[in-house]
Amino acid sequence: MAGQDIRRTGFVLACLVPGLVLYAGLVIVPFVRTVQLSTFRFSGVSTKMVPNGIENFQKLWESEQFWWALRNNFTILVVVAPILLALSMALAHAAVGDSKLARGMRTVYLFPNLISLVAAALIWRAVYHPTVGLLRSTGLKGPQDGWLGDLNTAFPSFAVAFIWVSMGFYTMLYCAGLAGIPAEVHEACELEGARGWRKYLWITRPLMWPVRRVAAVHVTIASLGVFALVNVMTDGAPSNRTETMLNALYRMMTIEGSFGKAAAMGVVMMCVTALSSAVLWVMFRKNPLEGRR
Amino acid sequence: MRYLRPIFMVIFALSVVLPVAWVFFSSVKSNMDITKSPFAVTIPPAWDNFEKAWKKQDLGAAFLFSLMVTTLTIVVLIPLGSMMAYALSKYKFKGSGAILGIVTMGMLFPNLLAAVPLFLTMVKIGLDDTLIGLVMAYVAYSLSFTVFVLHGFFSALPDELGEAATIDGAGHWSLFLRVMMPLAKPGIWVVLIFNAIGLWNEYNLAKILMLQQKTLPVGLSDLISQQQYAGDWGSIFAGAVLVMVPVLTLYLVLKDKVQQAMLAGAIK
Repeated sequence: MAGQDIRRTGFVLACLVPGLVLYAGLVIVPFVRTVQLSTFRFSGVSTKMVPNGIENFQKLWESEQFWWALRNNFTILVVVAPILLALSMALAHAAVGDSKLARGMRTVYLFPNLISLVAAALIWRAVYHPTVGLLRSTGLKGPQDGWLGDLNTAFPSFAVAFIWVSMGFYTMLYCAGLAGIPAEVHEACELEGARGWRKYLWITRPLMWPVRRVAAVHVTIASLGVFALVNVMTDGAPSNRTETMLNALYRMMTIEGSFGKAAAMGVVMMCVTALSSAVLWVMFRKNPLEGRR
Repeated sequence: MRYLRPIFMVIFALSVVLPVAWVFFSSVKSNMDITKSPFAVTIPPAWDNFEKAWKKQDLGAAFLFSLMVTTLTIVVLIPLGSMMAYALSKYKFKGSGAILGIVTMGMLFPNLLAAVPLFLTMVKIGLDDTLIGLVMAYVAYSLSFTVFVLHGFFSALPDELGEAATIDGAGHWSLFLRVMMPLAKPGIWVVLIFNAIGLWNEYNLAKILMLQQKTLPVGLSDLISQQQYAGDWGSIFAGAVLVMVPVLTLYLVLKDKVQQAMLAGAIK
């Protein structure tokens, strides 16, 4: 018996230890150390680390870049993301089903999710570009500095690209949810005369609760984690109008060379992520259908 | 009313296809025609855009490097992730739930949050700007999703299978490798495809950790920032085609499997 136990323990350890060591060393420890490093002033590998208390956070508080980044991520989360989800839900209602057209369309919708964000960013940068762009020749010339160069149009233009990149995924997700609604429910609706908005609000939407929760979690992570798209499209320009928290962190670390400030940015973002998760948890705590059974 | 749904569907499909198709189309146009009009056609096609992108702009080296990084990461990640997911689902012990929680929690936070200490760690162990270092980071940051999905697949396999095999005298390893792994094949496909696409496209960590040797997405991004003023849009578009073609080809060949993989983290 003892020999068996040892073999069993040996097997479990052999399975877990290599992965856990790697995960702990390169994921957990760096996340924890971000908190520690945020209280130091240093600018690279070879420079001395000087403890400076909350100075990094004060610097953030005083910088315009920080507030724009926070504001933009917040706008993406509470304005752009709901639009994205609503559009996806509408499109899913159109594209659900087994017809050849619907299946073909759904195949196409996933394209932007599959290509590199760098390629997607390039596509939109090129579309908006004032001298080579696709839009300029269709009469939508846009402001003088180009759609992405103008203070007022830069963020909405970026938001369109953000929606374009993510919509396929949420449409597929909602299609799967819609397809999972049993045929009897549709028949019952038909009999009772429930259709259109009434059917959506009273039948479909509550039944889709588990899928909508998944979508909410995904969209929150995606909204707060915007990096590659912004980094390649605008790098935060013009005047921080498209800055995001991660792009700010990247710029503080590499261009400014203030490692401590970048770590402080990371700490703020951790708090924002945790807070958003808590809000989500409250919003989707209970399946509305479960109490009624 | 009858036509509303198809029209709605087609409009969105066009908004997806047109910009992508335009980039493919522009990748074989001369720079002069690109500036002239989005619809101008270069005859004969300017294939030399690809030659420029591949050789002069070094995207060829980046392409091969990306291929190597993606392959190596997958080769290490899939066995490592399967072992962890299997042990955590079939050999429950005190704390196994907590370990699973910590490992999968990584999915909640964007990897760049830890950019500063991760970079410092890589420098300290002498692996910054190296293939091995990048692969290690990729494996570590891909474990969360991989273990999460495979844990679901292994948990769905009945425990009786293991008991039967053990009575037949199979050891832990042969039970895992000969019985469980083949049964978890659909799950392996999911993590294989999801990770392969994600790693091929990965930008964040490569941007932070690699200075000399670039991956294809980082190489393309650098090309964009250099060439937008020089005006060589031809090689930029060709570079974008280079990064998109492998993934889109995979998608067209394995359509259902790719769709399943993209949704796997969300619905099982």
